[in-house]
Amino acid sequence: MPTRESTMRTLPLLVVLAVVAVGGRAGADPVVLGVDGDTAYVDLGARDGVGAGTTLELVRVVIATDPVTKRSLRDAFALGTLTVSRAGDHLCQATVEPDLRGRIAVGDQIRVADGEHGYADPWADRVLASKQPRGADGQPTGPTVVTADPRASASAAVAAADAASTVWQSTLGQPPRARATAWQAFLIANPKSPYVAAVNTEIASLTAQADALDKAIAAANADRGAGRRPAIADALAAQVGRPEGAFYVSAPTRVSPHRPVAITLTAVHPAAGALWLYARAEGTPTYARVELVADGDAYLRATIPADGVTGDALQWYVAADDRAVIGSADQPRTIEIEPELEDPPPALGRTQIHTALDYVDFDGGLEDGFDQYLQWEVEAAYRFMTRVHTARVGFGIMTGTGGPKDVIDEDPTQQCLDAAGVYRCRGVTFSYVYTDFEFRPRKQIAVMLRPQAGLLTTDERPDGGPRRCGNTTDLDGCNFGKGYGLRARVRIGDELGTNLELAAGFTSSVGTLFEALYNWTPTPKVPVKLAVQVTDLPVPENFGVRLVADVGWRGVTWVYPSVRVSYQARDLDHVGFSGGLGLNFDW
Amino acid sequence: MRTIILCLSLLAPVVATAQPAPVAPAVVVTPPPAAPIARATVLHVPVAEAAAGAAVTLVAAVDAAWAEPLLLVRYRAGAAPWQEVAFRHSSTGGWFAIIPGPALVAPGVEYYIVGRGPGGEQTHFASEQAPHLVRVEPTTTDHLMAADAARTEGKTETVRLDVDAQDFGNRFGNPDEYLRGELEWTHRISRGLYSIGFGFGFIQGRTPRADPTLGSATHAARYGAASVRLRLRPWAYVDGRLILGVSHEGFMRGTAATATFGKPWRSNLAFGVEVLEDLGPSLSVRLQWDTVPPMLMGVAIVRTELPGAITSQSGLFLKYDATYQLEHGLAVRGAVSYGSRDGQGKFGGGLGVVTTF
Repeated sequence: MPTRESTMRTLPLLVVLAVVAVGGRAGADPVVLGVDGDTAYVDLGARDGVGAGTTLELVRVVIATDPVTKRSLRDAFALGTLTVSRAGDHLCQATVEPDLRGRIAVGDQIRVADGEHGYADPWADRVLASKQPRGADGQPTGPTVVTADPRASASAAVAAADAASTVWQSTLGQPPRARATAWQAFLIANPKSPYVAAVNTEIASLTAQADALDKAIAAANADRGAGRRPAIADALAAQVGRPEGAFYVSAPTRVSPHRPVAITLTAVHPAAGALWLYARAEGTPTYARVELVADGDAYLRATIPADGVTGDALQWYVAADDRAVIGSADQPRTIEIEPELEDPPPALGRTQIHTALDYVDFDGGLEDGFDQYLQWEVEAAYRFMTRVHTARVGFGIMTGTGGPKDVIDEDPTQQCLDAAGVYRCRGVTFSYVYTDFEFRPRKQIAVMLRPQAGLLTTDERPDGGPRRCGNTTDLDGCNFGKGYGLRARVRIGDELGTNLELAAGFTSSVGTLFEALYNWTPTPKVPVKLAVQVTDLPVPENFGVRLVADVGWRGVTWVYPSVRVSYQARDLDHVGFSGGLGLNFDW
Repeated sequence: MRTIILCLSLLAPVVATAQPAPVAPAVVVTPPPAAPIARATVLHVPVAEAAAGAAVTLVAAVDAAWAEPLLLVRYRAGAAPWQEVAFRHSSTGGWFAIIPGPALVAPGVEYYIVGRGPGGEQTHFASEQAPHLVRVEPTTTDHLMAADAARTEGKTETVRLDVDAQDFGNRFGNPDEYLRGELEWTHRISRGLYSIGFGFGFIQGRTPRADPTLGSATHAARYGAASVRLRLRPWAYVDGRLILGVSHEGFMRGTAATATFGKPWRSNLAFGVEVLEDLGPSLSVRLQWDTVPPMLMGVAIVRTELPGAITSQSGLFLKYDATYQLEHGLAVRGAVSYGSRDGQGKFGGGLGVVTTF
């Protein structure tokens, strides 16, 4: 088998041989033109009745002189055979039998061993046939333009060929049906073209192609989106992983607040029936429903409106009419919502400043009694309305005198002396600070915790009083210490409207306070507080009860004063009335 | 093949003869039927979100790709003109298109997918009228930086001058008071490291001696302070401060820290601690509110040993302050306080000015 390399080497030789064979062989015996290994080239071809498979004989010519007659005798003997493997019009390539290898040489004569056959090139025949227009009798007529003047006929023929060529050029790259249409238009414009027959053949071919293509497209489109989608879904799965059921889900994990959120599903199986997207801000009770709308080749799209994108997270799920498809109402998918990072305008009305001055007289003795105290307190509060709903910072001073109520009530001298004549009361001043944190586990319930600490000064001298030790250089009878405490409150109801507060507080070395406070706004301008307190203030001796009523007047929105009256008693014989003032700012 | 034959026939030599002209066969032209449009099917998982500046690769599986030899992703960032990039067929069987990183800017890049074939352009996913959005959410830090820049109009430098004084009073009539001043320069960075600053300060005070008959001792300090502010959360800040200087005793070291819940320039609750060698520690709780614009108000409770209290460590005062925002980044501050340590309470106060540029 000749290699590509050997063939390339042989080509120049063949060219030369062909020229020689075509130009100079007429009437001569065929000979070997060249030898390349087991391949020989012979100047016989299809025109000579030689084709693939033809057997050739290598002939050795012997020329001898008759010694008697002196005549020159010439004869030819077959040395072996060659088999034609390929043949052209004038040359052939033959395979040399193994016995002949090395014995065959250029110039050796060749003869056809198995007789001549007829060989035709079908391609050439078809080309030739196409050149022969057929007349009504079916005989080829050729693309001719016939006129009386041969020159005019030639010119007309050239013009017809140019016209057809122009159309042909215009059809290049066009789909079959468009090309057929172009040729039909050509025929309309050139009904006498010598190429009518060929063009009709072309149109028929193109139409057949177009029909086949349309049929294929129709078949492809027939199951578009249905049967074919799972097949490409597998291809997609190979790239991006398996879907969730019949859908790939495209949803962001983190979004900015107040921007619409798009949810897109890619359906690997056509969805049967309508699908709905349910979404809600985390913590809200109900879902809003948005229809998933079909889009493009295999998609379902829905958008959660911007006004629903609030809070800390967005919860969503997808359901058909009767079943959950992605997530569920109980186990929704979650999209984190970025916190509000822009500075909103100041939230007016969140700051409250309370100041209160409260005089409490338990024994009715006023300045001459031994069971009174004065309490002044200022508190600043800001409602953050976050996890810590409200923070408060306060400062207070409680100063007074207290002692055992039995000693106070039973001392006939009204000097708080016991039976042994010992002064049992003491003056107290407690300056304290506190912070208060309010939490809102429920909308209508608030829990407030208030740690506090202060400086406690007591004066045990009967001639002292609650404030003597605070400014004297005679410290006899004065004691200084610290008091720490905690107060807890629970508020039930509307923070700014009617509500009920329950409180319990304790401060070491100072006393205990229990309180039930009812905040009431019968009219927006008249805030009312009603309270009952149980306390042993100002000294931890005996508990008493206070009934307090505080009424304010809100003439303007940002400030209102209030007046407080109270009744308190440690028993029915240890009773006093008193009151106080308050000033409250709402900013 | 037939076309080639036709071409060859066109190129064949034309033979002119004297034969009668042949009769051309009848030509019947019929309009071609409307050809069905072949369509590809594009299946991909839309990209929902991406990081800023990071190219997005769209992965698709395509059926009947021959029907639309060119599959395109059209994308745009914001209101920019639409651009397009073609899907390419991978040796792994998938189709890929990449939206380049520069297009990925907040708030996102929109895209839709079309195919182009003999039948024209076909839409496969979304559309120009309703494109799909790849969200590009800024990071929290970036978001906060932008908010800071908007709030401060791009100003990053702040210079603050404060002078405060407190008289605690004393039952023996000995002075117990201090005056403190600070000048501080702060540079805002606005990331997790919110700001850095440096300042100089002084404290000048007198505090009663243990023996009341000896009057009060003079305590003082001159110092420099380096400070950093960290933004741990959008609502939580921590300030740290290193103080180095000299006091009436000699070389003085000190530290301070403040935890602020809420934005420092808005309503917040702050807890502070400061320890100054030779002058004692201070603790504070301060509630600030912004509900009376353009003022910022605050109430602080301060327990302090300043200026190095000898007789009692329990100095305590309540301080109310208000800062009024003027034009051009200038603000003034005033404060009034009331407190005591040993004896009747006394008043104090302070003034300050802040400029931002």
